[in-house]
Amino acid sequence: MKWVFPINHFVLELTPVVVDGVMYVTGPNQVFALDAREGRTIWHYQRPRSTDVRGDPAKGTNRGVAVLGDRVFAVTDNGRLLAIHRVTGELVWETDLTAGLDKNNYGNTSAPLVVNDTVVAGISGGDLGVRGFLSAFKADTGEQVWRFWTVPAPGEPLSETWQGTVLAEFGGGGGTWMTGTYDPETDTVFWGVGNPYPAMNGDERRGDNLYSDSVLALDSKTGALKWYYQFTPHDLYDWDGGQTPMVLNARYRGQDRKLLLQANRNGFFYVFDRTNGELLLGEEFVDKLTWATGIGADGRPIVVPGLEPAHDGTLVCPNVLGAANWPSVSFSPETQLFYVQAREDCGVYVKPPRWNPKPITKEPGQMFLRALDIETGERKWEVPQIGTADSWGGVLSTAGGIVFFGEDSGALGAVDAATGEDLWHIQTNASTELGDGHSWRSSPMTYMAGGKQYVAVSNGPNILVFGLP
Amino acid sequence: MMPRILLLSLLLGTSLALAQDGRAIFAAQCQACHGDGHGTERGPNLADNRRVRAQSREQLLAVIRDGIPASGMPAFNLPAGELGAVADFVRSLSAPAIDSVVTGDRATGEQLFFGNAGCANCHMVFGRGKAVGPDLSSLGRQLTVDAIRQAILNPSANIKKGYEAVTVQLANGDTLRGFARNESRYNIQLQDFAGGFHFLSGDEYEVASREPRSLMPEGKCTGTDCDNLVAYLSSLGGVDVDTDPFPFESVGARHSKMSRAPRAATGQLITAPSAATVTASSTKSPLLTSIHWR
Repeated sequence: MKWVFPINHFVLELTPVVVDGVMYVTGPNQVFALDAREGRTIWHYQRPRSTDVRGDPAKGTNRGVAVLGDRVFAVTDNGRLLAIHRVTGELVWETDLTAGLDKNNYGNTSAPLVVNDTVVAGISGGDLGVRGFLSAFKADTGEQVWRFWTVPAPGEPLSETWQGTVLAEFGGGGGTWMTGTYDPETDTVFWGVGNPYPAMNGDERRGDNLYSDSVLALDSKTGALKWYYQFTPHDLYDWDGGQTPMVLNARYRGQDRKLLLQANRNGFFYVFDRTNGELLLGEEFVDKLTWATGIGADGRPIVVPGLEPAHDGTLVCPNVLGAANWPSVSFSPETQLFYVQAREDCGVYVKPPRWNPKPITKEPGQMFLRALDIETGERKWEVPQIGTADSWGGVLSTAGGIVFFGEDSGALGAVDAATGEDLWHIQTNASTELGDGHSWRSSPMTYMAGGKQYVAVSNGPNILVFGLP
Repeated sequence: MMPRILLLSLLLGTSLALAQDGRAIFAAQCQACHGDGHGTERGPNLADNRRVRAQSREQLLAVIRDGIPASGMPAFNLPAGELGAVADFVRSLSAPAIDSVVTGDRATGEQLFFGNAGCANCHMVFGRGKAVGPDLSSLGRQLTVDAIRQAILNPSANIKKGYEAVTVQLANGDTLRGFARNESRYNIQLQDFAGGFHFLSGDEYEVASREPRSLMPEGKCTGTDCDNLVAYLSSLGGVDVDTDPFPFESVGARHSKMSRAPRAATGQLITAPSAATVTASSTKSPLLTSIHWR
């Protein structure tokens, strides 16, 4: 271990960002600039937490920053996008993403994304029924460039995929709560969209509920939709589509292809041609998957009937935490393998508004670090873990042939990228074994500073940084 | 809208006149004991004073009118207008500058700041200027008018943490001069004057010298120039949030470019949008701007 940096918040979810020797980390409505070699503070920007927000933003979740030139971008719990000066640590501009909207249900948790000379930010609140959107702002002034609504207003095109009263009564959900990705080669912003609202009762939103649970491919300059794919049409299990999609150029079944990969919360591993959205692979990456039998030739899941949430509960796999979730996945060009922390678990889905579940027994869940062949979805190796299967640890593969991952017992583990063999671990003891509610909720990253390589991860209330002696 | 702005201007104009009177009346009536406000051996300091800050205008006015006999402060039976003017002046010695009445001209001060006075060569306000020294965008909320004036006239008296100048010698013999943004026995985090960071540890460096004085040149203003600069800096209340709403209806699950008021690089809304770009928020921006720049 090289250094530790504490932040006054117990469940940090941020991924550090390092630019020119400076590490940027965040807490609730807080941004720190640190000397990446020692963790010493250069500046600290802070404002009070909001008292009138709900959901994850109210818990203080903040997943990090984006940096462009002299600007450091971060979100606040109440829907503000901030530009902070790299040197002084003071605010340069601030824009309210939720101006004119029902603010209390909107909020922000995730790092913004720099796209050329703009910064793109999404919102949380899909579980509270907001109408989701994604917006781009000029990096130098904060002026909005475009906005993409992920859910139609009542009567608008696509509202035919929302039969019932939900759109009129609420916003339909479709949060954009996890940072997407930008691909300069196709000049496309790829962004995952969250679940429809209400999550486990679809009676008043009959239809596919576009663009909930989808990945969007948007033109970076206008926000125009190039293509989309909906992972879980008419989602009844709160599975979202929010995980950061991975952009990858690879030799794929004999051709050089521009790919987009996602291991979705619904249990399927998807590979797309990102230039046109063609689905190249849709294979199960967990065994505990009961809601569908596969992905059909038309690209739609082959849904098993009779597994809708019921007032007395329905056992469905994966569980609500998902077969995977927002923590990072990784791909190694050396091994040509895709790495994901997979959750084998099932859950009892109860349909609101009457919650009266009958007793249902199920096996305990288990986490597996899995290495997938991207052409077939085949599991090349796996690391079964011992724990409670409710951790949210990300994965990092390095050019040194190592895969770091947040292990379910609370350890930060390192295994051989080719074989999965254990190489190293340190027990951070972030786990829920004692029922005290804290476990991994973050993803490791690696950076260079002063000519040395470091691995950094947020963990509980700390940033932990490791390096070779 | 117009009548409200007019009223606001009238009020502000009146207050400015009163404050000037207040300083003069204070000099005539109070200086013998309180000096320029910082106190003498005969009367306490009233500047940046918590007890003064805790008093309402009415309470302060009553103290001046009735005196504090037990402490030897006499009653000042001044006409109501003069009493109010003195109370405003005394309050301004302790209130955040943005809530105080100042005598100078803000607009002229802004021109000086970004022009001849050279302040913007080192300081940034709302994204304008250079980020070498501390950002001043919210200075009016951090300091009193008096403290702002002192910071200009005698910058070395109170150097902001992280802006102490240090020269270090590197292992290769080179020297590096900059602000010690942070420092410990084991390392130093230097910021050079071009905004670059130099993080040094262990035997990579030795501190060659520490400069006890601020790098900011002192006494760069006199008379009215000083008043105008103070007025400008006092008006700085921090970056305004842009609350231009995006049209909620009518775009559907589709993209749309928005039209809106033009926006200056300073982060402030420009006050006169063209007809084509008038939106709900741009129509209220003139009033917001007026209040901001009081």
